[in-house]
Amino acid sequence: MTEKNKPQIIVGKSDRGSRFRSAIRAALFRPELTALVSTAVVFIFFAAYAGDQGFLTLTGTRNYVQVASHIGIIACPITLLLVAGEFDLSVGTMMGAAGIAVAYPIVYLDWPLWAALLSGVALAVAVGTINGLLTVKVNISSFLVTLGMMFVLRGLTLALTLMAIGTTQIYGIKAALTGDLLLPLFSGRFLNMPVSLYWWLFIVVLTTYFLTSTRIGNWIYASGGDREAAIKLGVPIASLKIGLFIATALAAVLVAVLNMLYADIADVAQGTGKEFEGITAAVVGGAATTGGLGSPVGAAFGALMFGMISQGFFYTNINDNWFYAIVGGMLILAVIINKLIRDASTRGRGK
Amino acid sequence: MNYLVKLKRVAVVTAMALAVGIPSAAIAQEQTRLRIVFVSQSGPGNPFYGPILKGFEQAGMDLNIETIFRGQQGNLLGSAAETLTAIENAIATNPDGLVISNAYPEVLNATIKSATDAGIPVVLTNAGFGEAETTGALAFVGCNETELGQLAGELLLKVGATNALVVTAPPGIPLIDDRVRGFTEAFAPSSTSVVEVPIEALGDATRLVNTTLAALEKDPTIDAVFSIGSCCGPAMVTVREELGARADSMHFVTIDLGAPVLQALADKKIDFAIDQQQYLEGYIPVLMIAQYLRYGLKPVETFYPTGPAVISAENAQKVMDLAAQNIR
Repeated sequence: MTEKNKPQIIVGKSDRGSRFRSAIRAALFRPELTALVSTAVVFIFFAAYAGDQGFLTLTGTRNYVQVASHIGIIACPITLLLVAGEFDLSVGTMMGAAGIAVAYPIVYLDWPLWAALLSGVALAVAVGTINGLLTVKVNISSFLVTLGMMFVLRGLTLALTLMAIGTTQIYGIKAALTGDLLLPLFSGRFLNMPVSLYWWLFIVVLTTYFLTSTRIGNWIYASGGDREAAIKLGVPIASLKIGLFIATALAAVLVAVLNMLYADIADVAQGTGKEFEGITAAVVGGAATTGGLGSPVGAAFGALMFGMISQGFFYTNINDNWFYAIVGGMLILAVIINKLIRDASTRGRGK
Repeated sequence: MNYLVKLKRVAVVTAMALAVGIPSAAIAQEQTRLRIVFVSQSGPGNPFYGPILKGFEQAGMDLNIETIFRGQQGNLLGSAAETLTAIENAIATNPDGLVISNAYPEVLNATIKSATDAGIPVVLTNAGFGEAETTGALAFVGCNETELGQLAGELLLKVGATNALVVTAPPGIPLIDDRVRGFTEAFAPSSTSVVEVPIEALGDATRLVNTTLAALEKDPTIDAVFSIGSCCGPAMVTVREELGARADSMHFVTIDLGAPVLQALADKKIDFAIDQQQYLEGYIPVLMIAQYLRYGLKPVETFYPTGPAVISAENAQKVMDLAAQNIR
């Protein structure tokens, strides 16, 4: 039941040639491939075109890796949600809300980082639970539930923040955390790269493990593939989906904290639009908005491509007004290629 | 260009550079074109930026310098973190000079300082009044934002307004906060109420108009409207039209020009607009950096004011032609 939605590795029976061809076909049909190739193309383009202008320098690399890591961290749980057949549009404004929920106690109540993080986690659990319950129990489309949540969070964050401190931005977070033992985990660099890179890698590995090697992963595929069948087979759809919404909100908290400690500012408007960047990365990486398909590794390449395009422009003489047009074009192209590959792979299996 | 002329110019530049003792690297770069990058939290999506960008590009043409603008796409106002990354990127391209709109000094100052420490000449423009010394920038080109607000308040007092509505964004953007504070201080003898429009709605004329109309509806004693910038000027013209007869006894003042605001000034629909001649905010930084790189010359004062100037029905007509050319 669950196997049918997974990318199949087809191994030929007899002669070497056919096994070799099958291996190539299997590699071609990996959902990550489109994203990998597009990322490579984008990298080569900027390296050739803007390599001598600083794209290949440490700062250049660090900056696109950082932008990519923030998108990539959100894209992982979004991929799981997409595989399970759900959407989360509230993840961007959740970042703004989480930034304030963590920064406010640090700056105004002198909380240590661990306690402030717990406040962010509590918010994520609350938001994720509400998103999940409304989607599963009241049976409203998650697109609408999280669209509503997006506006609710934006309004609440703005209103409550202005009520509490009279301004929309909180400064001086790092100064308030001087000497905090947890600070190096969320701020600064390790081996010349931003710490967010390591969080990103960790989360890609974690979500890939869950999706491919655990029972939960099977459940995620099952609930996104054939919902009725999944229920009959005893998949705990409600708690599974609530858990996934919480995971997405938690990722938003993590990115909010990383972003806030990078620029040393928490802003109610932080993260606006990040939900679409996350979904773009996931879809370029092979996730299907109809559920049942997706790969955190693919999403990682999608995010990396997004980061390279958004930062690569700085190193060219191309006017960056073209940025969104190019990102949008890449998205549509990737979706078309993914679909063609999927169709070909189904035909190849003689179905 | 004529080769001989070019050669001659290089020779002259070299001679002058040697005379004032500029490192030879600057001269070597001059044989290629100087490259100046302008980083901002805003961009062409904001009509106010039209003249700034025109001035920036015109200076590049006049001075034979490559000018590259890097703003934020899509939104009127990029976040502090986005602007910070943009500045880091700009520094990594190893430009000959940087023009920076320093809208978030608390976040951006350290990175701007690292650029000036590394020997990249920086000029702050449009946003960043009072931050030139801290960041090591050659100068700040623009206005004292508090002064812009003060002037607006004084003008409204002079025409006899007693209760003003301030149309602004929620507090948090230093530049806007300064304008509002200046206004409130200057207008203090009379009362001020404030309507805050969410940042993302500042580019949405319909929401601006309706929010303002609702605030005016609630308090019939309001007899003046002060809007904080280019975001809101054109919307205030619509507000005035929607108000009908009540508007005749009201006064409108806004900051920054644009074709619709100028037309409204000429038609006496807006009483005053405070102008900061933002074309200069694009042009002058390039000029300053060029003079510094080529001859080691720099301004003595670190504040190069481009305003404020008051535009009203009397002088609006004069600048309208320039607005059509995207210079005002």
